[in-house]
Amino acid sequence: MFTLLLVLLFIPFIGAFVTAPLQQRKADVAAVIMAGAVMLAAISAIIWAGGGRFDYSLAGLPWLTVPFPLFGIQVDPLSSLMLLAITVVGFLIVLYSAGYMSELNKEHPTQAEKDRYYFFTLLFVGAMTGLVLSRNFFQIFLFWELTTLCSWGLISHKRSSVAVQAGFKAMVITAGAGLFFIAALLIMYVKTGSFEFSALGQLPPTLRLTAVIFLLIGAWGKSAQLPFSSWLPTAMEAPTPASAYLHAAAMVKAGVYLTARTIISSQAVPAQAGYLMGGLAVATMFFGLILYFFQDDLKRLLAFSTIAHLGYMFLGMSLGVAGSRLALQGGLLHLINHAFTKTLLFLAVGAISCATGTRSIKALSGLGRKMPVTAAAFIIGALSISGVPPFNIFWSKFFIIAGAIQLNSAWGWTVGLLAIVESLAGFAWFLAVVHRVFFGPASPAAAAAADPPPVMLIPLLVLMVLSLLSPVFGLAIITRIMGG
Amino acid sequence: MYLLNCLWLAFAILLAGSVLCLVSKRHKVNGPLAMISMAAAGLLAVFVAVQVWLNGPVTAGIDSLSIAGFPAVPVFTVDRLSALFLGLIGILSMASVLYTQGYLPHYKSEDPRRYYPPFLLFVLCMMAVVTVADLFYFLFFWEFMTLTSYFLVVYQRDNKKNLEAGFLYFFMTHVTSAGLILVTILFSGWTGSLSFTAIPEIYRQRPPPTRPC
Repeated sequence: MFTLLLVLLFIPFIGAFVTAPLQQRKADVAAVIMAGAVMLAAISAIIWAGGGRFDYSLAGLPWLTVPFPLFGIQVDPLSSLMLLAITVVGFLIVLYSAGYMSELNKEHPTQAEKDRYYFFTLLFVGAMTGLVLSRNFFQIFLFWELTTLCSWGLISHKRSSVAVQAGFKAMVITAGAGLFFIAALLIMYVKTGSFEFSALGQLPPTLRLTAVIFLLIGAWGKSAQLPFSSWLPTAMEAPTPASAYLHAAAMVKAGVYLTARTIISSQAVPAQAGYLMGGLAVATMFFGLILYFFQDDLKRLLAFSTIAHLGYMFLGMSLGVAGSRLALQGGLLHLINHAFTKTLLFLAVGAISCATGTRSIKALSGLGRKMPVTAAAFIIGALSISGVPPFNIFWSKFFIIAGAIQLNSAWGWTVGLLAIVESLAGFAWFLAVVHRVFFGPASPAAAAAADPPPVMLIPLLVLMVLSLLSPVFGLAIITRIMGG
Repeated sequence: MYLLNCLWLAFAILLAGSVLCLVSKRHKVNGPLAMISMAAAGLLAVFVAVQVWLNGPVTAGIDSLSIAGFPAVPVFTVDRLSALFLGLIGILSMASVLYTQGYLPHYKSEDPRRYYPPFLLFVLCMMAVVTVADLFYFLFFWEFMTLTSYFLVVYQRDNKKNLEAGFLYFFMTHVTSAGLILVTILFSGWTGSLSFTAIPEIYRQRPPPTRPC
């Protein structure tokens, strides 16, 4: 197991450096092989772990006295859940990119700098893999900062002034919020001499609340929660597959993972922090929702949807702090369900912009006849993200709302009903967008459109299936997380 | 138990039929496939309905589909009331698919793959709605029934009126489903069960309302 985990940790980094000097088709092939190897290693490790916890020490720092070696590898059900999203989505993104980064792409017709693109993508996979295999807060922080660097590289990939500014903005906001993470680490080390997850529980109550809020601020920055949301919509300057990875499995999910890890492994999050997290989550959900109605760019619409859905995850976890196991399960299930569904939506939009050269909702109509598979992918994604059964997000939304209402408190009822309202309004808007873009007669922009090549269609087909079936394996892993 | 196995076989046939109907774009292939699937499932449904009507109700659950940490279990019960509806759904759906064989080819510009798969799934959901005995799964099939019927409403997707009707239909049914969601959550909280049979318990345990003098 130890060897397998080491291989899993190092393949993406090796892949990044192997792919870096390659160009065009060679870069595609190398990146796909490496991402595929990471995915297979991750699935093998998850199956091998079988819901158990494996913890291995690697090394320490001689000048830093801590009770356990500082660096190591740990896999448990929570990291398994994230690993699945990171590596499966990572592989599908890389495979899709082989078709997307081409001269046939009407929106961005170039194969230039594929080396840099794959370098940062595989580095991102490695950073996220390292983050979820980390055994303490200190190690998480190192990979946390590496994800910030990778996101900067991908967002500013096109090197236009807008892209460079967007990359800079994302880095400043997420790294700025990350300073609070450092502050939380310092509090833990000074008071307990340890960075272990359990160190949080050893802090005196007032300091514990402060440390948890500092960790949450770091997580909110990474997950684009209010008041740190503004970097995410501007990050849409990244190539669409990279946006998909940023939004679905990496970067924003790092914040959710940190919060989940803090709640589950430390068991020491004060109730006040839970209420703060829940209140901010609901505010973020409605902030995202309101801005749906003003978007003409399909990618920006998905960006605000991501912001709102990250709010659902934080809401589920905050209700878990308040005592609802069902809502906590829902929050975690939403993490993996959203990963697959949002990737599906982004990749469908990527296929549309690739074929039409535009992402404008107003300019697109009648795409259903021209791009039937892409249309099916977007419609399934839209229905899923709106919580329509039998698709995956219905399950996680139901668990969160049921958990909230079953708390049988004014707070639970309020957030539960607000979540229902958000869900209905979001559904109406996504349905309207589906009607506008895919039904009716074909618009001039859509007249010559066609479905993308198989290398881009395969990820769409796989993600359509996962948007239906992810609760099956997701719930099995989450039952283990909850100690079942 | 064998009667419920017949019912689940009907579900499986409808599911398989809906997948098979995706294979070909030609109505000459699609139509007969849908007809065969519907006839097999419809006859099974009618058989189950008649047997229940003659011999009394049957009930069984699929424990492997129960959700950890949530009291929902897909239990199916066919009593005489559901038998009546099951029989009607079986007969009328067969008649509808038979009629469609001559009707659908008139829509020359539309792809029959957008009609038969949702139709067969719609029938499956209707059969499940009248036989499932668990509130959560009732809600699940109820919503899925709405989704599949929405695709039938917007079959003529170039017609603006159809699209408006489809939007209104789907949105309004989804909004009203919020009430079902709330009831499901409340019952599961009150009784720890989502079985229909647990609902009367709630009212037995609650004191009768006082009447004003």
